[in-house]
Amino acid sequence: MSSSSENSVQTFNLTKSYGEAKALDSLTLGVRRGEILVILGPNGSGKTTFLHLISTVLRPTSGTATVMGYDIVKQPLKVRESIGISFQDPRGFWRHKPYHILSFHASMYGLRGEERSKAVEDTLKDFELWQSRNKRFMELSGGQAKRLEVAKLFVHRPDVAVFDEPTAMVDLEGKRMIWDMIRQLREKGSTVIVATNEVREAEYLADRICIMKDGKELVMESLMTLKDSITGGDVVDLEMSAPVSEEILRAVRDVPGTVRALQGGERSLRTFVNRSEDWLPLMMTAMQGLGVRVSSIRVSEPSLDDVFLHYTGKEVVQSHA
Amino acid sequence: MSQFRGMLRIARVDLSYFFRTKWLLGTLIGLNVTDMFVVGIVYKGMMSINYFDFYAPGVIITGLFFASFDVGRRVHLGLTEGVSQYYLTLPVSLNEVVMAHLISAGLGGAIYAGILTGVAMAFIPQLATLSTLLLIPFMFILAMGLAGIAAVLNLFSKTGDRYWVFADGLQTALVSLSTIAYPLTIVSSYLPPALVTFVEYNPLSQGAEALRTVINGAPSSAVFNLPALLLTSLALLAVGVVSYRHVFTELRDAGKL
Repeated sequence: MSSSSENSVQTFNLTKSYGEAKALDSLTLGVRRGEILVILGPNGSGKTTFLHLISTVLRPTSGTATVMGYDIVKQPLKVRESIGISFQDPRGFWRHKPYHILSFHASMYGLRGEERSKAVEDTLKDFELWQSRNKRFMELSGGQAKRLEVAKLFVHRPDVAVFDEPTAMVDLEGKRMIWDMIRQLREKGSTVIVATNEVREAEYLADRICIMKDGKELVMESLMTLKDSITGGDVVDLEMSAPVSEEILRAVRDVPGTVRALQGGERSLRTFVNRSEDWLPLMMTAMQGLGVRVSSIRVSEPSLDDVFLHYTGKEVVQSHA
Repeated sequence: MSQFRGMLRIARVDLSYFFRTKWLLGTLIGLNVTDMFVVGIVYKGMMSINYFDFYAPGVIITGLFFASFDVGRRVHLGLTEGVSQYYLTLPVSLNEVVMAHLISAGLGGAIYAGILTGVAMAFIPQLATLSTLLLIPFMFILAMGLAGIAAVLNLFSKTGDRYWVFADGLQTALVSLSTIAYPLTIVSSYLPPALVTFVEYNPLSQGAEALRTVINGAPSSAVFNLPALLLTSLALLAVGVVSYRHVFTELRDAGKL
């Protein structure tokens, strides 16, 4: 592991192909110990394939990865002892019951007797499934089945916990509960990887965000760094003391850092700028030079939506315009 | 050691699914017991042999066959519902997942045959002997071997429809071309020699003959049948191992079967 000893998961040109199509294309990335990495990407971007590869559900076509230092190709058993995956679609035989499903899962990771019973009971209660513990899997609602799928990882708390769209099919209250549980899992020492296409989920959970498209990593940074990285990411709405003339518009466009300026109303302007904290003093000086007073300034940061759209192919300004 | 335990746990969960499907179990037992009594008793008066004593072992082995073959249905469900993928994430090897399914099939077949044997014992006291008990391990291996045939079906049936059609066809063919319902002497006078040889080596015939030998009170001849029974079962078991290995390897390579 040498250079990647800080990483719980490290991939090396990890590739998965189905015939000619590459679901994952030479992915090299590291997931730091104890962080929550959120993988964000449109459908078909390779998120699930990546999770299945590191969980040994799938075998790579080329390249490899290590999980807690164990190679997924050469030491799959060791990898399975270190990692747990919560699938996108809940997995269980129709006639099995939540209590038995979790009890079986716990037993596979060496929990016995009282310890196992307690872990199963606590987890079912934490996920508000205790009342449904004796229902059959097929009788659970979509949200309950999904919570049960997520709950599996809380019975044995793996070193690396992998969640594929953990709150799909779950109501708002349930989403918040699952997010808090995932954070707790990290606080207790697990490294967490979450694949999602829900921006709110990513904002709530992520220490770092990896944006993927077409089986490739486009960018992997903290949320703040990502927001700072996009051109014209800050939106500044200005209210002027006088009607917006061509001259004012031109002066604003000429301020260094302006990406785009549009007239909003008779006296208002919407501008898309880089680093508004640097841009605002320059803009104020320019307006003073024209003898125009700025009566109101409203700055909004780019959302993760904007970042996502920016990296997956659309200009952030288009989404505001 | 913990991996071995893991394999047995998967086998137990898989087996419990068979016994949890109560409508299936109830229907199977109902059909087998009805078959045993109606056919056995009606034909008893029409044949020169004690047909009930002849047919009951046949029904027991048919039950064992159907119960062990159910593993194919469970694996098919596991593949379509993603449970097989879940097994591949657990701390057991691929070989252990394969063996877990075959052991579960063996146990399912042996337990189910045990239930039918218990019913038959009430009317055939000769079955209540040590020889019957000694046959249990062989019935377990026979059931694992028969599950190997289900594994081949799983390998070639990508869709549920195809699986059911192949399974029904194969079950009917194997039961028909055996000594389950007719003695070999009768079968050989109606079928061409090649098919008679097939009937003779059909594991269902061998299993039924082993039980009949116990009923007829000649334990030595039961032992005489056992090597062939064992060899055929082990050969089919090997086919099952290879087939399920292929099924799960393909699942890991292609993401689906």
